[in-house]
Amino acid sequence: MRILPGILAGLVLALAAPASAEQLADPQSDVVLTVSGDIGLLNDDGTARFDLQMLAEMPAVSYTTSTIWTEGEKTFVGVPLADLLDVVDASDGTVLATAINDYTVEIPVASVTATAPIVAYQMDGREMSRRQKGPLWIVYPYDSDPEFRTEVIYSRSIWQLDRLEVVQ
Amino acid sequence: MKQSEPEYLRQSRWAIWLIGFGFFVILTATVLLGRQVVEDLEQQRSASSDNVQWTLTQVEVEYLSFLNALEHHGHDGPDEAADQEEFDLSEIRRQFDVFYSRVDTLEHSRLFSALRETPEFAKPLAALSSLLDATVPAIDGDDAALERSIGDIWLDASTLRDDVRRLSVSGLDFFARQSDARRADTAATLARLAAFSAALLLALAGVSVYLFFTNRMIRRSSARLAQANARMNTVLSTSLDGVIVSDAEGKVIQFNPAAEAIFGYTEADVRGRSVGELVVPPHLRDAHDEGMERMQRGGDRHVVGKGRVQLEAMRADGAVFPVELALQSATDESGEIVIGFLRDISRRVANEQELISARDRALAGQKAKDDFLTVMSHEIRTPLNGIIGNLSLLGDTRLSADQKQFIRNMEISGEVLLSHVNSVLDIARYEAGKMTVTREPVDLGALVQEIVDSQSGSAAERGNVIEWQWLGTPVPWVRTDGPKIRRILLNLVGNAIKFTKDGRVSVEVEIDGEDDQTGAPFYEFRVIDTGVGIAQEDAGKVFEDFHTTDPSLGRVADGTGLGLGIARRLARALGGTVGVESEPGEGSVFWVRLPLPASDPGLASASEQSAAGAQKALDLLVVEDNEINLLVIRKMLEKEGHRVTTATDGRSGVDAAGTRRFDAILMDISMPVMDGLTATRHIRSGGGPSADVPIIAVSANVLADAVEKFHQAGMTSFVGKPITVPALRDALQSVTGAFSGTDSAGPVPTSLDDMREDLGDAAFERLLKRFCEEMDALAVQLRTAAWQHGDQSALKMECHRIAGSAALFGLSELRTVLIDVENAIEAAENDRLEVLAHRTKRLWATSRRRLPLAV
Repeated sequence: MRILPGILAGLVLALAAPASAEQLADPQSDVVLTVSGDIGLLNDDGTARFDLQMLAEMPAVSYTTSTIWTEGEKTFVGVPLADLLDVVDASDGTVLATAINDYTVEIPVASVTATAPIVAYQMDGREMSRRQKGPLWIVYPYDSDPEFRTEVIYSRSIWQLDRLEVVQ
Repeated sequence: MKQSEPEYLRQSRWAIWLIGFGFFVILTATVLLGRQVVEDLEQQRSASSDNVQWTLTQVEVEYLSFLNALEHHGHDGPDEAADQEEFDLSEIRRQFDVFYSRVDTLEHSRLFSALRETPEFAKPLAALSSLLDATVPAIDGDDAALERSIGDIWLDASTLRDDVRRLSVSGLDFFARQSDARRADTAATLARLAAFSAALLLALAGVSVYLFFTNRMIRRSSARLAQANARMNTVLSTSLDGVIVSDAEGKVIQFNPAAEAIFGYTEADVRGRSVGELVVPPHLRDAHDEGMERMQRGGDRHVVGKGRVQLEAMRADGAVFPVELALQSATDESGEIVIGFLRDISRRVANEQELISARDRALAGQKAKDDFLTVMSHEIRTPLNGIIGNLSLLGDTRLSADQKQFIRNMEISGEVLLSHVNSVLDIARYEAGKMTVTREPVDLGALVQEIVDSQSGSAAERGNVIEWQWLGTPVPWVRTDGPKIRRILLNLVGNAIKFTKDGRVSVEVEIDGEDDQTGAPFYEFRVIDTGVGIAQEDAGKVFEDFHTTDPSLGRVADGTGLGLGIARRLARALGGTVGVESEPGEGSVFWVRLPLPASDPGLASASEQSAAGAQKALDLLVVEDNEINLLVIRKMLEKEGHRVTTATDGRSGVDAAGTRRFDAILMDISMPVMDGLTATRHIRSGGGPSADVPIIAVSANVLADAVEKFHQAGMTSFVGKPITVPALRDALQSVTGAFSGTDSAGPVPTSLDDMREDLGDAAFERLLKRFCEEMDALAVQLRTAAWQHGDQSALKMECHRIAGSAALFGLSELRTVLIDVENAIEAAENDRLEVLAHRTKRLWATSRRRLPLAV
């Protein structure tokens, strides 16, 4: 179990300024994640859109774990889903996570903890291409707890993620 | 209880071990299996599987989406709008990436590692992989190049349709089989689990059944126990003995109704109180406390478990009474308890004491009677002997015819009186248990004949005819004690004559049956008379001592009433019985039944010789230390025609007996150097020529135990002092068979004149002078200081010796006193001795003056 919560305090402070504004900053490059539905903080008409830079500026958590889909141990770095939901001011309900091939899974907000899962944007120190299940992948620390090795958790570990919708 | 465990307990212990072990095994197996099942389920839950089926089908979906994107573009062709085109291309790229990513997952995910081993999956996967890898450059190239190669990509991709299908089908097939196998596995595990659970259940059921039975058994045995308890309580409450149960400290636990009745406490009063304070009397309390303490220490137990003990106990009112007590200890749940059984035996003890004192009184009375009889007989016999002796002396003097008749009458009375006294002495001897039976060959025919002959005179006096006869074949020779049979028959015949007047007395002898134990034939002697007879109610009493049927008859028939009693005693001593059958007015039959073993005819028997009336001069040895006695005996014997050798002490007597064979030896008992008993033993054991000749004891001591001593020493017979000619004659006759025909033998020379005549003046005076000197010397010795400090045994011997001389000189009173002195010394009765010593001196002073001493 190697959860290395690499929380970068400086970045949190940097984020604090725009977060206090009523509106989320606009993405400056390609949007990699669109959050919609029952959320409080938006940067567009009805959605909150993020580019990689915005995600990378948020507090990061890192896991080193094996997965059932890859070979060997991988080190993932990403934003805890909880933080992301905090940012968009979503506190309850269910998150519908959808991949680029429109594959959708349901993640109840209540099941989300402070560190698991993360919305990973780096694997082994590099950004993930679409062929490598990138650019975003919901990852749990599978090796750390048998709780994270269930069918439900595996099914929630959606890759090639590009949309989140919070519903009640 | 501790040492022997009941069988069923041992068995159940085994059963418990076995069941425990079985449970352990089954439980372990069940737990292991359960864990396996849980693991299986866990594995299936964590299922690595994810949604492999989904992934596999998704391969086909994404492949088709990719083809679709390519076709869509190809279909629309390059006529489409530029942004549309751009969108199409990015759509192609996206679908490619999705598809690529999927295939990449198949290639690298460990979910499919087993699947990748199968060629059905590996081959199409490799084909797909190589197509994708080959397509990557075009996809990653610029839009124009991609545009151009779309057709080729589509062609290549579409050829793989079958591979994709095969890939997903084979994968699905594989996983289906895999999950089948896993399900089968789990099913098997579950089945095993079920089996073990069933076994466990079965075992539990077994245990339940076992426990049920055990429980029932326990319940039953506890019911039995309760019953036994109830029974025990009933026993306790109905026990006639007091039962007190206490704990090890002596505190009362139980006190049954009998104990309540005995001690006067109620159980409620005493429970928990100390037994010692309640029932132990103060004088035993220390011993009780000590015993309790000893028991608590585990030391020796003096009373507990030692059976019945007689002690004293105390009632509530403080009365002390005797109890019989048995204590036993046992162990119950609270520790050691002591159970005491007590029985109030005060009445029994009182009865016993009364019986004991009654018995003691009776014994003392009996003893006093015996002593009285013995002493009186002895005391009467001595002077009687004197009277008889003097009568026979008087008879030899010159008398008128009347005087002779008077003397004759007196002699007859004297003889009767003497025989009565002898009877009483006999009874006393018998009662003292001193009667000895000597068995030797006896001719019964001769014996009965002799009795009939001797009694014919007295029978004739009363006008009676007397006769005797054998019934059946005569077997006259038997081994028995002839004198005793003679005495029995004499008494019976004498009795018959006494109670018959002008009638007939007949004696019958018959052999009738035999003794069961010894096999000896029973001889029945019947004395039949035609006399007055005996009333039925008196028939049982006639054998009692001093019984006379009728006082008036008793006058007619003079008798002590001892004759039949003696006959019965003697018959019993010989192992026989006596009895009587009678018809008043018709007569009586007295019978004696004796077991008498047959015998060879004896050597020339006394009775035969006496019948023949043979006269025989005997060669005799007389051993006597008293010169005067010796002289008198010698004179008597020589007058009878015998030849006499003398010795003056035991030693020289033994020497004389060693020189030749005498016909008989007369032996004094008290003698210097060696007494008569020792001398007799020496002669008997010395093997000399006279070792087996009759030895006749000559002694003044006629008491039963003295005579017994003579017999033990080997003496044949006994003659009492003072010696009379008839007694001497009888003794010699009985031991040697010698019979002196001279019935007119001279009487005992006990008058001084006769002695002087017999011995000659010179010898007489010498002896008399010597006697006086000896007596004077003795009188000096009898002065108090002398006997108190001198040699008492020498004094005793001297008294004995001089007493014999005194008798010879007619000083019977002096003789008696001297014998008393002798006895007092023997008994160490100094007070009495002092009185007797004075009397002796006084008596001697008066007697001396009467003696015709030459001055």
